[in-house]
Amino acid sequence: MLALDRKLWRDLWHIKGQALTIAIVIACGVGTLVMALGAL
Amino acid sequence: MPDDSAEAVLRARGLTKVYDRGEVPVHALRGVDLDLVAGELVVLLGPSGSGKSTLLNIIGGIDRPTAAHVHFQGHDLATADERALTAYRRHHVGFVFQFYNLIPSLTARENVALIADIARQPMAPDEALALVGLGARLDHFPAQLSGGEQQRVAVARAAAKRPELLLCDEPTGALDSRTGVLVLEALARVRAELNTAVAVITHNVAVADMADRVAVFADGRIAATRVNPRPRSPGELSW
Ligand SMILES: Nc1ncnc2c1ncn2[C@@H]1O[C@H](COP(=O)(O)OP(=O)(O)OP(=O)(O)O)[C@@H](O)[C@H]1O
Ligand SMILES: [Mg+2]
Repeated sequence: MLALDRKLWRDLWHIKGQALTIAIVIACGVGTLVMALGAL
Repeated sequence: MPDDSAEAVLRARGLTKVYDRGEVPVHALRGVDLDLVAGELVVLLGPSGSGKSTLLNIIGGIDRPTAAHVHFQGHDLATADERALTAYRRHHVGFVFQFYNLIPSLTARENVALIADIARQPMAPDEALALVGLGARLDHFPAQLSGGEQQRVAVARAAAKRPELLLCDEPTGALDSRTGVLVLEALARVRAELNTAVAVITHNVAVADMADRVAVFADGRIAATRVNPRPRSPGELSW
């Protein structure tokens, strides 16, 4: 693996809490949107 | 300071740089001539604001001159486009700055590998680190290394691409005498191994004793140049 890719994964692992939180928030948003559209 | 005897790797002529932002234009360089010769170590001295870093940034392809001819292997950096400058920096120039600029989340070996990954005929990271005396600290992160050790990693990183030019802007500026000497020894070893042209900016007059040539800057010009008849080895220096 290139050193640059290793940096990317390691930095991502360092902020895994934040990354997970962001992913959940986005998932909630998308879920809400889908439900709203489905209820139309 | 033209030197027509030896074949220069880099030849800068009539280098001027005017920073034209703000109210008054700043004349950072007012016509500098400089040659860098393979295997030669040039020390650049001079007061703060005299244009040393500006010069180094231009010959390193980081910045552009207002007017100049800067010849390197048949190309003129002054008229090169962005892509050519990037290739020039990537393949031919190693930089060492006062603050080491290592990537905190990569080990010493990986920091060097970062450059080896994109260079044409790189040294193995282990080999580059052994050259600067850090063969036993390969897997340490920057936070686990002293300032002087981090700077030697930075030297190894710059050397790994086997550059024709090694440009150092106050490489010992943040270090004490003993640690600084280790960094200078690392630079000297890289030069001996690769026959690189080395330029070192310093505020430390003692460092000039290891130079082959010394250029003294004043107010955007090279005010004086001297050839050192007997350059000392870094181990003989202290400050
Ligand atoms: N980006 C910029 N914009 C405007 N002026 C600049 C810029 N960079 C440098 N200068 C000016 O150019 C002059 C030369 O600066 P330079 O950094 O080359 O000096 P130096 O010799 O390296 O000084 P020092 O020893 O303090 O590092 C200074 O007057 C500085 O203020
Ligand atoms: Mg400077």
